[in-house]
Amino acid sequence: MNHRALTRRGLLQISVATVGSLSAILATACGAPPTPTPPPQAAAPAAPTQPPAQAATVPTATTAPAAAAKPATTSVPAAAAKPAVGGKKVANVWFNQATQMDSFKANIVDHFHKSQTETQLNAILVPNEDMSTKLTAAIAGGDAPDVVRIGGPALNATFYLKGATMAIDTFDPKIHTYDYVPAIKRAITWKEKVWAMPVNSGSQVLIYNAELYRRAGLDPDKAPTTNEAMIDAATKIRKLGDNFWGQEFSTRPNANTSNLFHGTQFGFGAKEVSGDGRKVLFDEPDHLELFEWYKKNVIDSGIMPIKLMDETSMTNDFATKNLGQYLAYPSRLENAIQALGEQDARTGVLPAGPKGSISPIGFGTLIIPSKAKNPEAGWSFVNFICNDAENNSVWCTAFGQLPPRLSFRESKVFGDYVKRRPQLTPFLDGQRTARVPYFGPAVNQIWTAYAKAVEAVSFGAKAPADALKDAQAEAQAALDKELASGAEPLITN
Amino acid sequence: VSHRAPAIDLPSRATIRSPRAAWRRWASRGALYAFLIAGALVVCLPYVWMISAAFKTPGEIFQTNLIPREPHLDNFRQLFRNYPIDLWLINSFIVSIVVLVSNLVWATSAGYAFARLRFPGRDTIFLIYIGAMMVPIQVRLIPSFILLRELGMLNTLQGIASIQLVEFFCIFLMRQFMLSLPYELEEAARIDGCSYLRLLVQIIVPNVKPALIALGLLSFTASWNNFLWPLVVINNPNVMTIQVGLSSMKGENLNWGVLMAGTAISAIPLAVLYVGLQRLFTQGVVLSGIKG
Repeated sequence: MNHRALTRRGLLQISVATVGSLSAILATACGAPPTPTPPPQAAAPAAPTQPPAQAATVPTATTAPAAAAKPATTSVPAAAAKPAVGGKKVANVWFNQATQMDSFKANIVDHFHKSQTETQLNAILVPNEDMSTKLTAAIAGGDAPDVVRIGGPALNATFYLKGATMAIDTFDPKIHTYDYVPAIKRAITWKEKVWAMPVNSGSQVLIYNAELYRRAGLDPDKAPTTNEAMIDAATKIRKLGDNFWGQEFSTRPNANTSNLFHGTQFGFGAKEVSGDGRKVLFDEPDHLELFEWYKKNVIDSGIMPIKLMDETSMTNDFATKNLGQYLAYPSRLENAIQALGEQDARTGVLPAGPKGSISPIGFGTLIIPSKAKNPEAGWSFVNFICNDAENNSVWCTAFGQLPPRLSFRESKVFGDYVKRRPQLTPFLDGQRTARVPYFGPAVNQIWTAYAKAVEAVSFGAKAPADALKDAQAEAQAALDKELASGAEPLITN
Repeated sequence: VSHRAPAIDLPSRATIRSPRAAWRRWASRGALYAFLIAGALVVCLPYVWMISAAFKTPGEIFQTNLIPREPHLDNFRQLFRNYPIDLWLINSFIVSIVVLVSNLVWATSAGYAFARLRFPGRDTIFLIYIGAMMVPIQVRLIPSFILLRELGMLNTLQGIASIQLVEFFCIFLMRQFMLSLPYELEEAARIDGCSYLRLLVQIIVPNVKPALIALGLLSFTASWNNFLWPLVVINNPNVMTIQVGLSSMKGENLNWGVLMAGTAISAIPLAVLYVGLQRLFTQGVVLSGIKG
């Protein structure tokens, strides 16, 4: 074959043509981001959680009652100063709930801006599901935000076990003395330091439809307090007709699903990982007893529709007024009240299993990433919203949540909220004795394995014993792998 | 002299095939069709579910019926009212078109060089390109992020497009296609004094149109569906592409119907492109030997 040699001139012509074309394309098409009409912010879909009307009119830090805890006045570690905007420091805040972003800006960001003039918040939406990927890349790439809102013990632990967050002790040495709900404090403390600032909390209760209770011949003022009474109520509601369902449990195979199953799990006394943090305990008899109870009383009895369900779909089903009851965290209360009205959306404490009623703790935190560009600006916001009772209550009432500190329940803002929402009382009762689910190494894999077992039993794919056996094997393998790679076990002895 | 063989009166294939052989033929064909139909169902079902969910009410989403009981357009209304979906689509179009044009230019010129020109280190450079193809995006993520940060291109469309402007796979594809072209094409042109650039533009490019179509479609699709890189480099909702925008809708109170409406809309451009250019795309794939 005859190959032509590339002449210098030819190479030059090709190079100039390609580079020129590319430059022209880039210059014309990518010159600037498009700026059509300003987009609306991501807003809530059909049944959003509306912040209480009073949320925007609460006292600021300066007008808070004297009894309220004051924000800590502490020094912050030296950090590279970030260019200020109009004389203000800028803190980039990542918020993790798309449907609550508007409420976050309207109630929290504005409240902070009105209360001080030194720090400007730049609120950025990063959904929980994408948080891990995005935050890891941002920290590694040297462009970390200054504050991140994280939901739940598992995700919090995922970050601080990897050293991705700054210890709060650095900013606030008195952090260990605050009256946090014990389970929350347990979940954010590691190596005797606190790695995240709790900003809200929640426990699990039974939300039920009082109108369906009446129609089924049940007493709507008397919520079931045991698993047996709960199943009995669900069975009677199911008998109202083909379109009516007694109860729903979450069946999606992810870690969040098992989170919704913890309340029932704890009621059976079923522990997930051994005290030394090295052995998964899904093969213990308590778990088998729980799964067999679930299969017999929930699945085989026909009180629940067999389909993929998560917290959102259960909330939507409850809004149709054809579902009798389900277990949920407080952020769902407003949805229930909007759909059913004040009178018919009721709550009761988490029904007790053979070993009692123990709710899993739910909570959210604000963390300061370990490579935050401007941690002091970030801390000024964290300190403002987490260490002052009234300001913290603004947050909690805006999103329908509970304060993480017991004394903050006495704040004026939260006290008014409870008066308007008496359905919150069971949540507050459950919060005191709530337990934190396992949150150590391989936490997501372990809970996902458990949720897969729930799913398999729900859809009849496996018998309870087989489902738990598979979950045990999968979870133990994940834990062993993490421990072998140097992760420290979560010791709870 | 006729070289034609004398005609023989042969029985037709049907008459020599025994009933058993015919049954076997029909059975094997039936099994093949059953297999293909099952495969098609597996591929199509997620799309059918997506379209179905886009027209369902929230309470009906996770029920097994594929045809909505009360089909409605509320999900689409909410989508356009509450989210800047038009902006996300425009951003995706801009990025994908830039990536497409860039890859066509680079892949054609570099593919031609690797296939038809001789220069020192050609095969070594090509091997390096092949090696680079094997490095997944996850490995390049952080270095690319740092590079972009230093260039001040985070949160820009340029930043999203930059990492995809020169795809080694596209260069590889064009090289393979150009290797199949007869050398006589360019030899005649070279004898007439044609320059390399003119040769490429006027002789080679018209003969590699099917490959360009295939390459363009693949490049556009990859850019349109790209999620990880835009997710990492974009914080500003005004610069989000459609895939990142859809992802940003997730969270508590997620309305699956609205999300599926957005997903269905995001799939329309690709569906139109593939259906419209199906014949040329298939031809390009066959001629350039793309597999998998």
